[in-house]
Amino acid sequence: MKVEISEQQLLEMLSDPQQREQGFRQLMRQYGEALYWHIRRIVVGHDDAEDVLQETSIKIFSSIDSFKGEGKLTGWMYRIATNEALTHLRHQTKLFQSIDDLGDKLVSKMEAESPADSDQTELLFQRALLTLPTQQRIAFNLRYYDELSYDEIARITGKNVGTLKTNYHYATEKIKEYIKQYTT
Amino acid sequence: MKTIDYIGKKMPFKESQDYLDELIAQTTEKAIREGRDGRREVRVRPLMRYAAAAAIAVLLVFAGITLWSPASEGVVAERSADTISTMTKTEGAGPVDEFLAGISDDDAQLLAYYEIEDEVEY
Repeated sequence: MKVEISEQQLLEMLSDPQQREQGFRQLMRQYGEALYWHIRRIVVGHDDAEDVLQETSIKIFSSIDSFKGEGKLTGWMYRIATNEALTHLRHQTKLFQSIDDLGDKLVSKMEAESPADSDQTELLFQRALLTLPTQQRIAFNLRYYDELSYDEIARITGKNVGTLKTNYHYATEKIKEYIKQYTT
Repeated sequence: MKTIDYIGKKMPFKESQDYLDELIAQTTEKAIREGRDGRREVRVRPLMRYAAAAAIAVLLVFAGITLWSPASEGVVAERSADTISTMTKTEGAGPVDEFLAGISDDDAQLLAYYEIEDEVEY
């Protein structure tokens, strides 16, 4: 059973050199899984997600001193994870190719890694999601899966709340449209 | 048919809880190891710089002592004396001064305007 401690207590542990490692272990026990799924939803591939989670945790541990306490610690961790995932995607692009053009590649990865008995509607939903522009997809994931507030998403993505609300609305419409197109 | 509102927040791929726990534990330990190494490197790097600067300073001091040691001081003093005597000679009436004193003003002016490019090349 996981013992959860408050973010404030975690921060106190992380800022104390004697307790830093213990605090980091606890931090990862509490939020590691959420970070993994957040990363997996962006990079899709299983091995890619492992690599990005590793890079993310190294960055978090080595730069914990730079967390200024503006916003939540989890938001700061999500921001690092998002940036690492985007960097990973950029490495997969060819010259002059945008990460938004990786949709087909990500769909292939998703289908290859899904169990044979996967629910077809769920697969269709994921395919629709992967056709969205990357930033829109990330904002949608954070709102839909992680159920974060627009303020938190704004801090993670660096976008303003109004833009995020509009993006979420358009993303939802596009997904509905995509599903409708392939089921009728 | 499910719609987006009732689709459920599931991912098409599933990972076992054991796998995730193991992955996170390994990732955490590796991050801590790398962090320790990184911190050590950050501490060691300035020390290496100071050590290199100190070594260069010692080498310079050693080279200075070798050049200005009492054994070589005589040579340097001798050289200095030579230079002074040459300077004295130059300041006095040498063969060039004697030659210049013996020529007319027109010849001296001609000599002043003479340039090496005036020599015809073959």
